[in-house]
Amino acid sequence: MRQKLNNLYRSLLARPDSGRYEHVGELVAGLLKMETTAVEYVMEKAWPSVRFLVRQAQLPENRARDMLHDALVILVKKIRDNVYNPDESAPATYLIAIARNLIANQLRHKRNTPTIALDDIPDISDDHTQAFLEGRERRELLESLLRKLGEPCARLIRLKYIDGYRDEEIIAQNMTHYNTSMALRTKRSKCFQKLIELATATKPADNTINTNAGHPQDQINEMP
Amino acid sequence: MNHDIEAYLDGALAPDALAAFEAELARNPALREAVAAARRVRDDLDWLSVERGVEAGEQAFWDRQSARHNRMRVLAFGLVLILLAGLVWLRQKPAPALPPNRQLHPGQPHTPDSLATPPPPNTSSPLPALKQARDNSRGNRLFATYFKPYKDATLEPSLRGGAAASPEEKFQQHYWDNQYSDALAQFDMLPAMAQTNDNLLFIKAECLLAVGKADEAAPILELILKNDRTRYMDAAAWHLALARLKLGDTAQARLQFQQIRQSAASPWQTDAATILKRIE
Repeated sequence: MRQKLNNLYRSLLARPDSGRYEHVGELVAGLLKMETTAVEYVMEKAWPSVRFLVRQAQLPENRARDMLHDALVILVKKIRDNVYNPDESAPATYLIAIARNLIANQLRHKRNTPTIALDDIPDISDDHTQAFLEGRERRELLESLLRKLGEPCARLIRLKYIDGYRDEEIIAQNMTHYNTSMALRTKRSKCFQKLIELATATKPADNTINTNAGHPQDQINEMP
Repeated sequence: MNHDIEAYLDGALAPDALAAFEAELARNPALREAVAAARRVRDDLDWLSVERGVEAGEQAFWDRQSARHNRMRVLAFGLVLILLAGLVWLRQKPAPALPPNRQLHPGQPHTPDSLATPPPPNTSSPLPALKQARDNSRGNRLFATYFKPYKDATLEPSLRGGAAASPEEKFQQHYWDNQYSDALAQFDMLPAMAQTNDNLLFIKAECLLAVGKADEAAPILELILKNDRTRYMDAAAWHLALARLKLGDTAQARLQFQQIRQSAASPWQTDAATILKRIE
């Protein structure tokens, strides 16, 4: 009954331009490119079920939003890493399955764990979910290290690795003051190495640089 | 070599450079560790890239959700306003008036006093519409319980042997035989003079009440009572009171029943007292 009402709700209030994403291939391609409309579409589809699962799990209502965000990030990463198979389940269904795994993970530490279940939601591999959860602190650290890295290094790394620009685009659009790809790559390579040294020398838990480690380059070289 | 790590992980090394790098990688554990660390950082950056990349879509979704909730709130507010306006309107609306039937007697002067719109229902109640609906329902029930078309010996038709029945006699015959719709059709065929006869008008009013047209019967009964020219005055008063009750005009009906209760000559004195107890 609840599902029927949700379907009715969605059919009455769905985005008028969402038709193209009814084709799974289009939706997956849109998610791969992280198109706003594709993200919006898949969230629209999954949100009622994710909220329902969070309620079923007796978690605070505001956690539903975080769960949807985390599940969405994992789904897109799986698409990027080419481990998501759209033939097995549609992106929205898969997204709900990821959210269920995340909720189950949250409940692992609770006593009297409530049962969370939803019809037609498949069991999925947990690798990316675990990687996402385990890497959370590391990513927070990485962001703070990028800030510590300063300009222009942080910008060079962001442009390539976070914003996804190709070197040719960076040069053509004058995003930095480097005029050639070679100069750009050489500088970024040094910056990247510096970032790795900082990351290696810093513990994720306390987010401080290990000052006893000597020069970061030395530390890397000393590793077995 | 730093540059080579990035190019190696990008898959951008030329074949000979790749071969040299892999040879070095096999020899140098520090380089292997550096490559592994670079892979971890790149993967973490990739996760960050996804988190940043979906932000715009997420924001659009939440904005849309928020706009939808706002629309729902506005809609709900609008509905509440409409409901309140409806309640105010119902509160101000007068009770259903008895429709004036001024075409009944073309030869007679208008009688505005007798056909005056009754006063509005008591508006002191917080929900006058509900009260009105309750009154109507109760009025209908009491009407159904107490109304019976009046018939006595004087109304029994006395057809003359062999002679054709006059329109008046046919009218009376239909009434006597409980054929009220036929009687009403016959009344329209009566001569104009006959249609102003209060006795015949009384029968017409009885027919109207019998077919559920209390709104048309009430003005006729009021006229008859005002004219005071018929022998059916008590019955007319009793049935006018019942008609008003059926029409939801409880205040006027109550006054009429009180008069009947005080009238020792009325055969419905006891019934009027009973109804008054029930409506009060």
